[in-house]
Amino acid sequence: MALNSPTYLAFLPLILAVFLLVQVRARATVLLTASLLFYAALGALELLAALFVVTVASYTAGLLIARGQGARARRWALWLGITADLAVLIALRFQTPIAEAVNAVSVALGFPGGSPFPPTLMSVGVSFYAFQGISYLIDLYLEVAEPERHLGRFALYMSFFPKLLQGPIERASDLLPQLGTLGKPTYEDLRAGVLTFFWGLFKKVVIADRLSMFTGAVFSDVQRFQGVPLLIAVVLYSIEIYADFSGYTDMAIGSARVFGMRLTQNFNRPYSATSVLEFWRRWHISFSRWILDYIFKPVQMGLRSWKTAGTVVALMVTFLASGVWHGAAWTFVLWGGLHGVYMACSVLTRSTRARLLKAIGMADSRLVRWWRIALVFALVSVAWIFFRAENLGDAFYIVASVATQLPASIAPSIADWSHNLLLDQSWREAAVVLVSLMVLVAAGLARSRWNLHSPEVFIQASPPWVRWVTYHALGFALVIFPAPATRAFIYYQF
Amino acid sequence: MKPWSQRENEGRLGRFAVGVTLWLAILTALSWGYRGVCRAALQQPVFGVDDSADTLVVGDSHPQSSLDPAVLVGVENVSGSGESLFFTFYKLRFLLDRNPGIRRVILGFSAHNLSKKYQDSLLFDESVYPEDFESYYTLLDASGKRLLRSWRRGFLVASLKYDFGVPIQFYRYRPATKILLGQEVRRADFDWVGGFYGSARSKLDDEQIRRKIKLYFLDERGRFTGVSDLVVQSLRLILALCRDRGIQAWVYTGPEHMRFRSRVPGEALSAFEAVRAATALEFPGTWWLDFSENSLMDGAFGDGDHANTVGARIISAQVRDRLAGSGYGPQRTTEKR
Repeated sequence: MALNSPTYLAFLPLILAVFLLVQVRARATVLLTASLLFYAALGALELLAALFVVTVASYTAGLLIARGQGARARRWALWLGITADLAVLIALRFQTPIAEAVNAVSVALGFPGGSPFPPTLMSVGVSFYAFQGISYLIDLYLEVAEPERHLGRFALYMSFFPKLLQGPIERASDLLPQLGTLGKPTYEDLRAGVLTFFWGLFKKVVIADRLSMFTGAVFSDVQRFQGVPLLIAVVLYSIEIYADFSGYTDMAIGSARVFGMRLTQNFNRPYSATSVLEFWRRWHISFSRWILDYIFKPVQMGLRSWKTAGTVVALMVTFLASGVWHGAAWTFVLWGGLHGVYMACSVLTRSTRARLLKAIGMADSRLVRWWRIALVFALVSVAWIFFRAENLGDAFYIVASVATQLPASIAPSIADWSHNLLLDQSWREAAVVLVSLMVLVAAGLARSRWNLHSPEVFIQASPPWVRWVTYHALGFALVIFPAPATRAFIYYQF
Repeated sequence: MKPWSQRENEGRLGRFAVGVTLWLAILTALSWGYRGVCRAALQQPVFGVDDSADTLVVGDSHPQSSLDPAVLVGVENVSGSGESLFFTFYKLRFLLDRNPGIRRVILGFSAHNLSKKYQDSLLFDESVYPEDFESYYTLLDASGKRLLRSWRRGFLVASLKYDFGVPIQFYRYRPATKILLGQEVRRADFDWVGGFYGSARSKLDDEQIRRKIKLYFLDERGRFTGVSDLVVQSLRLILALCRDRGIQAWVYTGPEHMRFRSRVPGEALSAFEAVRAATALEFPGTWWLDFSENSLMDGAFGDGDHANTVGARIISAQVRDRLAGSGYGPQRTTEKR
């Protein structure tokens, strides 16, 4: 079930009630049962099977690593576990290209009839818990985490329902200790959890789902637009994917918090980053940490004799792998490749840029800071074009049209503003988008101004009347201004 | 973090209860007001058809695109794209209640109007015409709502909005918004009203025809999914409504290009003929106009199953000639509400 579904809105309080009513030692069992029910509700047996295989493989390999006598036995156990996790991940995530390859080989060998494994299996959530299993094994191998010997607790670590479908990808050292000390959530936990959950729901159903109406109208048929409307769609998509994914994360964090548990913050105002490197420290943080620790660092270490060139190659490998993980399509490969290029350029020019700014006395200039924020947003948005476009042709059409037709399209866009500026949506929806984006920006500025982790900290520290107005306004916004149609979370497919 | 104490718990629970009660009280007050506005919207005196019209055209995009009121004098076309006959019944009843001078109804009825797969998608599928569903919902009575009742989001939203007055996306319902802003409400503000839609475009695309045949008739395995009982019942209700009110009912089957017609599954055509025969027996006063095999030129079709403006003029002239034999003519001067 999706976190924004009415079913989940009934499921969460029900599980919380049971959690609070049972004895402390039964609480982990309640959460594990709830997690399995939550996953089973998707109606796909293969998902439960995949979760079972990854959990048992990671648990067993973890014990073997912990008990292993000698480096060779530990390494053998590590690779066994990683191979099992990756095999499940690849089999489900890449079933379409695998089936196509099997078909091609069958035809080449003169065996017509197609693949015996049609690509019809679901893969929701598999990436996230497979990555979590791999990180657990590597951390054990590197002795930065303790092995979990209780299978039930380990299974809960892998399957805890708020983060099961889209993360955050939790480290063993962050989540496992919390599962061992499940107590009664405090009042602050409940209040912060509920508020964070509804703030995430607001970002999803009011902002992201509504923006997807605008962007969907353009990306589904890009040739109908030129210049300005394409630029608007690209900017709106950058906001949409942030509101969608961070909305999910907030709902996951809020859901966990009501049980007294804290999940990793996955987003920290990413569009206020002043470099692409910083963007990745603020965007999908748990995934960025994962690819940094388990792809970039090993590759960079392997190529350390190449010095800067080794770092550049490691960055390209890391981000291309990230792109491929998102899907076996050239659009995703280019999206990852673009980020690799951005990062490589950043590394290669860092000292030159620093010297230049120092020479002209603008090293600490606020103007330069704003320019950097705008530039990073533009670069990231260009990459999102490839992420969102239906195919490479559409992506290149958008890039070319924005690059070459922008000035010429301004006057026609104003003349036919309903088509080009409102992207064929009503002005009423545009007004709601505008107001809700102002709320989003205000929340971001408040977090920046008071250096807060999340909006709920700001609300908790506010006078009672501010809290009450906020609660009521959020409640009414969710009732009155949800988008007309719901959309699945964007990262649901990954 | 502070542990809970009983006194703190009581204080917090008390404040929580007050907060929730206050929120619900405000929502109830807003809902009460909004429900009144929604009801007032349907009481607006804007549903009267043109003084010279004594014939209504109802149905989906087939009659909407092929029966041109500019040719059919005295006819008002209120057909709507993707309109199920289930909704047509409620819409027609609503309009007849407010236009007692209507003497004749032309009802669009083709094989796809019966197809269970297509009609179920119009009535029950979350993703198909969600706005239209909400718009038609305002016309339904209790039995109609009972037939459509489900957990789909569209039904829940429509029910909360129009039955209980919860102002969900209130700004999207133009008539209510106009009343709130003190502006004049027009018939065109109601999305369900419909009207003639003429397009000069002509594009006969085999791939599009194939997709439409699949959309209308075939399931994932390419099999015909049968007839929707709900729609057959709606057809009977419409004809009974006309009969009971002394209104002449003409059931009109619009033109389909041969490339489209030849791909309609044989079972669908047989089922259509069977329903038509049974209905003709049950309602002997009904007139039948079948243009499905009319050999219009390619340039008269907008696509495989819709006439364009050229085709609409031709078909409308033929319909006018057929109607002439039944006393058709621009003669209405009766009252309306």
